[in-house]
Amino acid sequence: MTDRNAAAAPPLLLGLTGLGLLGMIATFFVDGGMRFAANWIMWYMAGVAVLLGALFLITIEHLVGARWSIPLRRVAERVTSLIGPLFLAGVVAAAIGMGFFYEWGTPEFMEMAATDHHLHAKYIWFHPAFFYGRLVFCFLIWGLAYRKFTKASVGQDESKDVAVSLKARRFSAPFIILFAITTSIAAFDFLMSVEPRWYSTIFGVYFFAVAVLTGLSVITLVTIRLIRMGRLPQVRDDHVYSLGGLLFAFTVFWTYISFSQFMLYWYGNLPFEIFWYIDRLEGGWKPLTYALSIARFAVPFFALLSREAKTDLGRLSWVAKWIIATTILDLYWVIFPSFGRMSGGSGLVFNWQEVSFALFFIGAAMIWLRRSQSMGADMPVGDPRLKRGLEFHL
Amino acid sequence: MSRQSAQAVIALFDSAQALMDAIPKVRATYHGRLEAYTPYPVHGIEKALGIGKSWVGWIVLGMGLLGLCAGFGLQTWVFTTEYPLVFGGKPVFGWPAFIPVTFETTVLLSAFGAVFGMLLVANRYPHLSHPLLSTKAMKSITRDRFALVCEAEKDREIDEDACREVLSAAGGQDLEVVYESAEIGTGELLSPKGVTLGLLICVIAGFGMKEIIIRFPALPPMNNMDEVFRQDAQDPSAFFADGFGMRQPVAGTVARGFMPAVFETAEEADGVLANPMRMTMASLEHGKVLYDQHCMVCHGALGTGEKMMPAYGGVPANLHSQRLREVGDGHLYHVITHGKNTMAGYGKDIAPAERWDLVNYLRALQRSQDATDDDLRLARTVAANSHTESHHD
Ligand code: HEC
Repeated sequence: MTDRNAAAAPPLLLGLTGLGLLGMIATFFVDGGMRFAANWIMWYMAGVAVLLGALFLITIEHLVGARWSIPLRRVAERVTSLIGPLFLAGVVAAAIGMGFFYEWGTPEFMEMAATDHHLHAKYIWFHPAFFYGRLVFCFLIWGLAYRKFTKASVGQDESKDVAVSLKARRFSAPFIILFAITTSIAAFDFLMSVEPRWYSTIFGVYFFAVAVLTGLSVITLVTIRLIRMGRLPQVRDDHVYSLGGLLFAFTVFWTYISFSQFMLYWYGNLPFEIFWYIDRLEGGWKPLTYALSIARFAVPFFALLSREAKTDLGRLSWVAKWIIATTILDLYWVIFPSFGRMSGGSGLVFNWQEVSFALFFIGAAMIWLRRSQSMGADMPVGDPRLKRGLEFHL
Repeated sequence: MSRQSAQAVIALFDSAQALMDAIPKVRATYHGRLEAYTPYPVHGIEKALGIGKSWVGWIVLGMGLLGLCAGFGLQTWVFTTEYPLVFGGKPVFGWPAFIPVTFETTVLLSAFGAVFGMLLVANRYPHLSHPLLSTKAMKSITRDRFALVCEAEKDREIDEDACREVLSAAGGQDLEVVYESAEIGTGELLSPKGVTLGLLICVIAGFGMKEIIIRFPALPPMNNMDEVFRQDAQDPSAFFADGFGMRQPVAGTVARGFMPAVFETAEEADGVLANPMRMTMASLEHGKVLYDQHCMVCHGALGTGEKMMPAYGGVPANLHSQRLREVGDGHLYHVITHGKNTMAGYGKDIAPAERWDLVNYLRALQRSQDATDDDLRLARTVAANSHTESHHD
């Protein structure tokens, strides 16, 4: 039933990924650890976004008893298998981040933090042991979800055990709370701490919006690929429409969150909040900021506005790719203006180094996702609710 | 009973699926207007019935864009052109602050577009009633059954027997025929009956609302800030020890733009208060404007005060009396500020600097009626100069 050929990576993909890897190594030796770390952290967080987006979709399905997503749940479950490599990438991100990139990673900064009013409360938070502890904590929680949802669900394909579904449902309620906490921690630790003096209470929600958008886009792409390969024959327009609708909704949600934060900061104009935006509205970053708001809102919004668009596989496919690309742009916009400031430059930072990282991480993710397509059946065939999911009508 | 021509033939089905299955069978042989009535929206039914894409979506889009432009445009115009006020040190065109309102107007107009567009386009409003509402079938349609209806159109009658046959062949049950006209047009709403009914509803709703507001004060209407928590000047205050709501300025302080009144009478002020305003053309011109506005009604254009106001009773002073020509500027200033006997004070209406302009003008007025020969010569040369000047222009 499973097409093994589809899982094997074509040589071109392998080659490009390898090329990316070479470029990354070269970056480290040519430009030093700082640029390497900035890029690495950006791609690591993009991966975390995909993982969390997929976990969120699965959790919501169990929590509210959604029917439409049951036939697509295996797609999301396979995406969560990224958790293993992501943990490794996370440890590397923390180590090189503290070593080369984060301002708070230097001893001088920590000394300063002891006296600086805006920093001394964050002193404990930035302690390396606590930082690693939180990283491990997050992955423990996500790993637990991976076991309770993905592993159990794949096992259910054979066992047809109803208890698996019930347990997943019971787990989903406490997990959604832990999900919120760990998502915020991940966002605060790796993205917000790029500017240790900055305050933003909504940043966790902001990253949540990024995560769901990105996760959904990846799931949409994989689903479309499976549909085109004829592996999801029972998935109908009603299911695809729901995916498109969620993508549309979270496009608006992301806009709402990011604009709210901008507007309130702009109006309040408080020194410890506004400097973050000032950095991003100056020099080469200004057009990027405007481009981001158009690319991430206007384009997907109008592309998905009509009813037909949400079931049009061709349209959905390019919009999903577009959203993934804008996620990278979004994370770039969060990390690199600060990188530019710290490294003394002022303009955009983009060259072969960034391209190498893109090649490697996108390539690696694609190889991994292709391989994961042989995990269990294409739909959760052991789930007693699958039939209802397939019967789903809008 | 003579048989009327049928307007609609209704057939009922037990499930949405049965209805969906029947539609293609009926459409294979019957080509007139076919409508379906269901207790809840059945997806895909419009495709099965061959109904084209509704253009309500375009109405919504258009209205949404209209709301967007109107909301943003209105704020831009008000804040940059009509009433430019600086808030919180932001530029007058502070567009981020416009977005929330713009969002609201966009959503509002989109929703209007959706609801009214749907009523107009899809439901072909306005009409008061639909003939199908009075059928037996309607009861079950609003509960648990699904109807497929062959309907007559304006220029196209239906063949009752043929419809019955095709509908029951497709599995339809409880067939029912409607003989009334299926089309109830706009005229129905604008008929005297319709208009009277509409007015009646408005009146009843209006009075009903009034009664509700009175009887259930727990639901206060918008009272437009009628009640605000504030100390009125004339109200007693439980907060201050002396029980007065209105406070005196702190001893030894002077409010901005005000001079403390230190003189009780005009005589005291005379010679002590110095006129800080130089006798310039600008000062005189402004003084004349003020005099014409405030003083002329009683004192007359020349300040003689004769017969200007017989009904008033009081006799305005003649500003050319020797006493008034000899008093100092401070005296006049004090009279303008505090008034005298039946003349009210103008301290509240005319700012201190302007009062001095007025004093200057009074002085010019007095001199105009008591001019020396030199004055006359001076006046002539000034007039001649201004004459040649205006010629040069
Ligand atoms: C409502 C009518 C009225 C108006 C308006 C009015 N006055 Fe008088 N004014 C009077 C009357 C009446 C008196 C005489 C008061 C008295 O001596 O009992 C008077 C007296 C005066 C005097 C003489 C005060 C004195 O010491 O005897 C002056 C100077 C004067 N007015 C100036 C003005 C000026 C300047 C204005 C315009 C700001 C003005 N008045 C507006 C009615 C008016």
